[in-house]
Amino acid sequence: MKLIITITKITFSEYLAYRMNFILWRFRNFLYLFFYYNFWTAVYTYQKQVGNYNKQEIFFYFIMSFVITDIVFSSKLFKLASYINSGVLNQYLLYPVSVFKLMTVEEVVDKTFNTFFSLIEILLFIYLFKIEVFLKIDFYYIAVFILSLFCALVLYYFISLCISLLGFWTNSVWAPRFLTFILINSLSGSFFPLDILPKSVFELINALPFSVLVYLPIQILQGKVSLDFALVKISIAFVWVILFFFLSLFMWKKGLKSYTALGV
Amino acid sequence: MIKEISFYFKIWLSFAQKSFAKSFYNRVSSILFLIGKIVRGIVAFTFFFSIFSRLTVNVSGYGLKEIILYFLIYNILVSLSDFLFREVYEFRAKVVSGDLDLVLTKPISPLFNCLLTGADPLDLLIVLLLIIAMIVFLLLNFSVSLSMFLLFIICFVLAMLIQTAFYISVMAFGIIFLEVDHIIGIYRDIQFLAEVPIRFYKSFFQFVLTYIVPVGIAVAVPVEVLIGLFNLKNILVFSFVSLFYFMLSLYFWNYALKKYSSASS
Repeated sequence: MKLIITITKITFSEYLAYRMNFILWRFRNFLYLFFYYNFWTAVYTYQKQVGNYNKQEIFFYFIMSFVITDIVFSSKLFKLASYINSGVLNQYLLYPVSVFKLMTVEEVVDKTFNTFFSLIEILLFIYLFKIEVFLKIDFYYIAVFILSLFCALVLYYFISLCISLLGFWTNSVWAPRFLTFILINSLSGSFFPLDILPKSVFELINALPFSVLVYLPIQILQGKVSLDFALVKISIAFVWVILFFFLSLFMWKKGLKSYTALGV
Repeated sequence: MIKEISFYFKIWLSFAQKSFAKSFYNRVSSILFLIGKIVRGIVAFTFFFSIFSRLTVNVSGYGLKEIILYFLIYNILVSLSDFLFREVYEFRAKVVSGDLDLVLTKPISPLFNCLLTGADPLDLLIVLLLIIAMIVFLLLNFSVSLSMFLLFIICFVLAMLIQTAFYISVMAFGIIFLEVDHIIGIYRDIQFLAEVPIRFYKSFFQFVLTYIVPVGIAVAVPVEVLIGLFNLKNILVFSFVSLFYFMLSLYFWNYALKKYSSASS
């Protein structure tokens, strides 16, 4: 518990150290909502339905994608690669707390902050723009939604970890990180519902693990998929989680053997 | 004047060669970076195509063909800016570390040095691919006279002036507030709105994208010259807006330089 409180304090003071940076970051998030609202409003001026979505459903989708993206994709794991490259990892290896425990707590604290601010922004946005949100309140759907969100969080954590661990073998982790970022952002449904794409493209994207990160949780919450289908998708996603878990474990063990603490 | 341009062009070439050599040295990274950009472009295109191919109405002269052309020109403008002004992304680090001092003492313009010395060859490759795609698409679907094409080139240069003004303003902002990344991010978000023609939006937003953050008009006017939707008034307003913002950004840059405290050096 002490560790969590300490990291929370550090994270908070990090945010406050560059206040303008923090303000602009949150302001940008709010603008993002405003822009998407205007974009979709313009689109629905000329058509009543885009794919399976009417105007209200698309608003709900982009609001939820905003929240889920902030929760799932906020991560500090990218720092691990620079720790490896610069030799700072040595300090972490000498700490009485395991590096993964430390980074996982950092992740949780960071995600909690993000979720807190996202919710404030969303509520403010819904209030200001008078957006009607219709939520399918069904216990089973909510439970499966939480399960899918948890699965998305864990999957993203291990994907991100694997990319950072590449730092053991290369100084240019930014390139695979950029590619992963693009793939995840474009193919997870964080910008738009994937099923408005042509069917063949949608099926191709849906076969990849990325759609589980944003698209699936929202589909469940909107009641657009059956519970059985959702559970199958979540089970497949857990297989991906296990794969990435073992891959990261393998990379960590192999990486530590070749680690020379270059830069210290 | 010509001598000075030639001098700076030589310096630019020298820096570009170094950037290119760096990219070729990190071949795997460069390929991954390129794949990422291409994937992003394809997904964005498929998304817009999915939305606009379903449109049954012609929006203020824009049908599917016009929107595809608009999309291509928008991406040329953005990628060309990325190609030329990549160095701006390093600017905050220079200010925070105090390395800007080293730039200020060099016998070349600090604005040129901070703005134009990081040309990115991968973006150049994307620009070239997009230009080829645009020319092929234009030849297959539109009939454009030579005079209209020349007018398009002039408008495109003015659009680049707006992009330049933005990047100069970002650096000036960076000197005063030590913040660059989020400002670029906000601008990129606004640019996203300009990925579809401003005629799609309500009049308030059209006004914002024309006069306040003129990224909308920067893409719209060159495209509308090619598809025959332009009028003289629009071009005059566009010329005025781009020159005004460019001059304003230079003023802002000079103002910010006077405020630079060289705190970390």
